Amino acid sequence: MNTMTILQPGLLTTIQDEGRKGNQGIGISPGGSMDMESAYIANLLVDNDPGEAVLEITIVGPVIEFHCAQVIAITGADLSPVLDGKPVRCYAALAVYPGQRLSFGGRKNGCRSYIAFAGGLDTPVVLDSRSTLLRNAIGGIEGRPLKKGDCLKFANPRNILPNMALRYVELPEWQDEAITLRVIGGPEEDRFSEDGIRTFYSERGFTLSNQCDRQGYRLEGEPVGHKNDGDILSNGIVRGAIQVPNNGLPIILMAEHQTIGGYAKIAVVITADFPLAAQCMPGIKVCFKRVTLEEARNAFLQRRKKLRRLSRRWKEEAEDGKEYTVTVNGVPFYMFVKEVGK
Amino acid sequence: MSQMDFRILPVGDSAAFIIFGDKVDVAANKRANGFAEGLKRAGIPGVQSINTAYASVLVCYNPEIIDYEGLYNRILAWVNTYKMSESGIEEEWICIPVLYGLKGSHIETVAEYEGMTVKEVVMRHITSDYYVFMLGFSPGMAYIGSPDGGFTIPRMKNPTLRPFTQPVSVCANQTMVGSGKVGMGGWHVIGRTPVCVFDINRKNPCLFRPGQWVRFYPVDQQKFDEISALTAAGKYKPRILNHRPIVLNKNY
Repeated sequence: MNTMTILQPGLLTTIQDEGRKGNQGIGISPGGSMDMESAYIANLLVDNDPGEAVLEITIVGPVIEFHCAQVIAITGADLSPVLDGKPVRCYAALAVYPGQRLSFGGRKNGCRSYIAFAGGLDTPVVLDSRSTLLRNAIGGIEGRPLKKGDCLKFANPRNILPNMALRYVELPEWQDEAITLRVIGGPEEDRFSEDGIRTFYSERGFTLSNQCDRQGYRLEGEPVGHKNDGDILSNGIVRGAIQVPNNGLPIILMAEHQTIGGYAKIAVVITADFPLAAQCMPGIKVCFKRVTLEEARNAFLQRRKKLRRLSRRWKEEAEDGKEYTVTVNGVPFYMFVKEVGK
Repeated sequence: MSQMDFRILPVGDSAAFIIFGDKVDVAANKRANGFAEGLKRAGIPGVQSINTAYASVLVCYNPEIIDYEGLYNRILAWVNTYKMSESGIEEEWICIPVLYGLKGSHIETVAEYEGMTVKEVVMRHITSDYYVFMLGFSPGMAYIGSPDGGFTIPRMKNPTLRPFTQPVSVCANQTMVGSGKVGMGGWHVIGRTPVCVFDINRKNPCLFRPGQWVRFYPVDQQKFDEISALTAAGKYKPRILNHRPIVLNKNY
């Protein structure tokens, strides 16, 4: 059976991919992984297309039992993954065998973890995506978070991938105390007073409140003043847009943002900093720094270039040697045999 | 388009607005919709999505393929070759059946506020030209406004649970056709439609499209049930006219 069973769902575990880009015009939020970059890396580690569907895990991880041999990779937040009681490495390909259980020991840093499965998940595709859009109950499994007893099918599981020992990348360090998000001035920046703009960019920053989910983050702190008010003729919303309603407290719109909004947008988070925003825990201090469009684009292009280079180690710099899978009493073992000389 | 009647501005590092006005206005909305349709056909590399709102177009792009300046220049170059007639959207009227004044509706509150009888409320609703400005907020939900009147009653102070699914409600010159789920809302419900605004399993999931005119017409319980059955079977097709309709049921 090419499946896995969710024994415990964790706090909020959903199927995500790159989302539904083209449907905002009919009122469907793009959605998709909150931290697309971590999902991208997880997929690279198991030779998937970077946009393949993954599990997005929030703060408290699930317990998963595998019913077939498979290669997985866990990235994003470090929630202390454990396989059959033994800690396993994040940001590395990991072979799992039938009957093995993956669980999570506790959060070390970050907020959202991603698991990619070699060959991807075989779950329903709705409007060109497997991602779960919680706000409208679309996609994933019945449009909802995973629950106890869910059985997910793998599309094309692999019991081994070439160069298993080389499939790892550096671990990021997610900040839990304070972050600075780089932003571009927003399309309705002219609706804010000079004082309001100074408050927004001040070093005092804001605190991420408990009201933060896949749709958006409410910030607390000194209210940001408008010239008159924050109401605008409703227009389109993008991920990272920071709108300020009349109470002056900014809201950062995230993956499942509404498609249309009627509050002035003071700034928009740059694409390169979306992962940073996605890994924020409530209570973190958030500051904003203005950058130019050129700086924003260079930051994005640099990150993309870095991502593209990640898989070189196991794709191009393969070690000399041979890989075997040996089955003993029905349990497959991965072996790498290398001639070491005299 | 002979002169620039719009502004382009960045929305972060991977999107741009093209803005045609700052009011709820049919002419500005038509320009935005026509512009968006034309821009879709222009096929600028790197553009990922093009969506319209009341008086603006949101263009999302992949910053790996194109930057804001590049997009700006491509749009201006395209505008110079663009004629409104080429991308103008043909006018059409979609006819939506409504069972008015059901138990639990707020039609009497509306009548009282507007100084009308319940029958006059229905007459106003079925004789007004309504226009779909945009879809959004929830899947397939249409922002429908009436340039020639409608109802002035403001939104409720506190949203209430809708009395039934697929409610048709009004407030401040707008009307809304609700979804198949009972939710909260602050608009005043005057009736119920047997049609479904959004069904993901339909070939075309949305009932409405931006730029469409809407005419409501009254149906009785029997007709409502007939259409409901067709809707449930996925066989109902709304009547769409290519001319402005006369009042469809004068004998109401």
